[in-house]
Amino acid sequence: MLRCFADYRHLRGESVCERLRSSGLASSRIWNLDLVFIWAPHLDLDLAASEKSGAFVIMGSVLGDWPSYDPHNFSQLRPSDPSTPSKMTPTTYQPTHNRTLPPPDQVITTETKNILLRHIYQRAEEKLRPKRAAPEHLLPEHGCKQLRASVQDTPC
Amino acid sequence: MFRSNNIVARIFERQIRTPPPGTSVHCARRFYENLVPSYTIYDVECPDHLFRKFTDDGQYLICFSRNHQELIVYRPTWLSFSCTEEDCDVHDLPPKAKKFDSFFTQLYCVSLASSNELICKDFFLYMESNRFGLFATSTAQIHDAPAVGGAIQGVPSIEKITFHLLRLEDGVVLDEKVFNDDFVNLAHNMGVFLYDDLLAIVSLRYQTVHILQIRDSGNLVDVRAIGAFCREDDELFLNSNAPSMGIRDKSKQHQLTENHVENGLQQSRLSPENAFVSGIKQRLLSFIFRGIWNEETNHTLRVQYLKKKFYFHFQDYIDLIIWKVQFLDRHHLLIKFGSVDGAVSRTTDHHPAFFAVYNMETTDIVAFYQNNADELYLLFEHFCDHFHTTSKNSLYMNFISSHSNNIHTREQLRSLRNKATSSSQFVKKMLASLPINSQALSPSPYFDQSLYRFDEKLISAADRHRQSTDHPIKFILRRPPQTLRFKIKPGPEGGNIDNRTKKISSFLFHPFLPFALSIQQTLFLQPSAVNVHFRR
Repeated sequence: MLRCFADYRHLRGESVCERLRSSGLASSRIWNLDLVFIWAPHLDLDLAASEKSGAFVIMGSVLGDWPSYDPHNFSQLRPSDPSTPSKMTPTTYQPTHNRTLPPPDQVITTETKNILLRHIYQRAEEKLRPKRAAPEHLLPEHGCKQLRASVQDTPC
Repeated sequence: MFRSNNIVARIFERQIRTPPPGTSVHCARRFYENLVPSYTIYDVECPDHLFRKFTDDGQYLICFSRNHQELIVYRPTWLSFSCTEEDCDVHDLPPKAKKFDSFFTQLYCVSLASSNELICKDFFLYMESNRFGLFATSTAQIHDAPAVGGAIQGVPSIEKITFHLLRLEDGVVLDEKVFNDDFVNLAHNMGVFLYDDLLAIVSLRYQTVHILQIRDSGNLVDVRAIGAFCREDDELFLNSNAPSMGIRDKSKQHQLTENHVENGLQQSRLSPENAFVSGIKQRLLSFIFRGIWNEETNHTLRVQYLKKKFYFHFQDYIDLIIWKVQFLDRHHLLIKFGSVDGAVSRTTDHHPAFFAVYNMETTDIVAFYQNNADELYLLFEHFCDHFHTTSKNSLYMNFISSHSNNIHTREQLRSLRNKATSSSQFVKKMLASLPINSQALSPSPYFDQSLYRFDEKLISAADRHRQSTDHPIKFILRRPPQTLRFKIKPGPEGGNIDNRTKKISSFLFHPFLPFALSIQQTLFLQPSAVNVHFRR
């Protein structure tokens, strides 16, 4: 397998083809090449080989004159100005409200108390507060799972 | 993660595959299924010492002399020999393999105890970050000591307990802390807890928890003493206000005891007969009081509950003493309270016990449980690892199998719970292990329940003496193919000739090398039989 890198920047179009043909690249031997780099950005070259499958085409497109098997692959991508690279800006989404904004002085740190102590303190706070009427206690305040007090229940 | 059991295949797989997130240590530990201490050298010629343990970083082996007065430290090396033939595996090991010196190099021998003192052979704490070791020497115990100077009646007294802080690299004694006429439970590190650089020493006799800090320079610095006083300046405050009458604590609604003017200026400790309740006992009683008070809004019901739950048991609460202490983090202590009788007895099942979580900074009691509390048991079951608090520096200590981090241990616990006839007895039994002993479990990966299955009655990560059997102890793989990987057989090779004498064996596993010592001794001070198990 042969790779070749040729700098044809100084050449005009026909000379490139001549050069290629003379070096054997435009002949049938071209099909043995897996990759050919031809740097000739100023030329809008369209070197097309004929009958053999795998036509060898240089695209003067947004991809910067890179070789391609099928010239129609990237036909959709021709921008109006081929010399400047296109800037693909993805669509962005802006929020319509500011309810989810963090407070301006928010600092996120790791909780220093380990989880065991957090549970102990949570229980202690519940006990120290005077008991209210039963319905208010059905939904745990913190919305998190509460340990069941009885050992008999199988933990899920 | 590994597809094959072959070690070479595993090494190749390790090159190309990343383990699932968060499991890199677990995957690395799986190589311990391949590297096992399968070869045993029986009855190694070793000096007649008491072998205590390997330090948790595997750098030193701590031994005490038979007369309990000297400390000998060895460095574990590995047997090395050369063989000039082509196939060396066929050959037996050279005769020097039967010598202790081939495996260990003696670093130094230091005398810690003077004439009438003995080193406590069950006590050793290791501070890994600075490689300091803490040892204890004590004089003889005096039972029935008179309760003078604030001491509790019924607790024995030891004339002098000294804690020695040594730098293990060279055996230099850096600092000492002496307790006179005191009693600290030293067996198996029960009365002392090490957390990072903080030490909590429970003085049973004077009911004080001494918090000390081990500095990098090797000094033992007093931080606080919790017991009669909670904050550092409490004693000063009380002494300066001694002539005043009346209760200082406003949270109690009435007087507990008659107030006497105490002669606090002369004596440093309050005598129990004529002092008001102060310090941690006061915090505890007011916490219990407020808890019962807040349960009910109706005033008459409140008073009724108080009478039933608080005043009825009031004398029991007053008589509670601190049994044991552990750190939950740098500011919180888990304290076990109980009656005086249970403090020094071995079986504590029949004595009522209570647990309290105490915050040292705010001097508040955060929680209070009885020893059959389901709430505390649930916390223990779910967050067991947080009770086994370890230093942040030693990563491998987080992988000691407990029922919070290992599914097999969890299944064992569950089956125990299902078999238990009475749930409150079961909870009491499980909570009896709290507060845990510091550095009591070996970090060796061969005790990892997800790697190996073994008979827990014959051998386990806890370094206690066990009944010795003639049969070798089998270590079977947990994962397929679930075959027997290696056996540990204590005692002489041919088994014991004399089956009548009881033999006990203890095992010392190196923290990360495939190396273990098994020591079998009879109870009559005969020299012990030491076997070396290692990977040949």
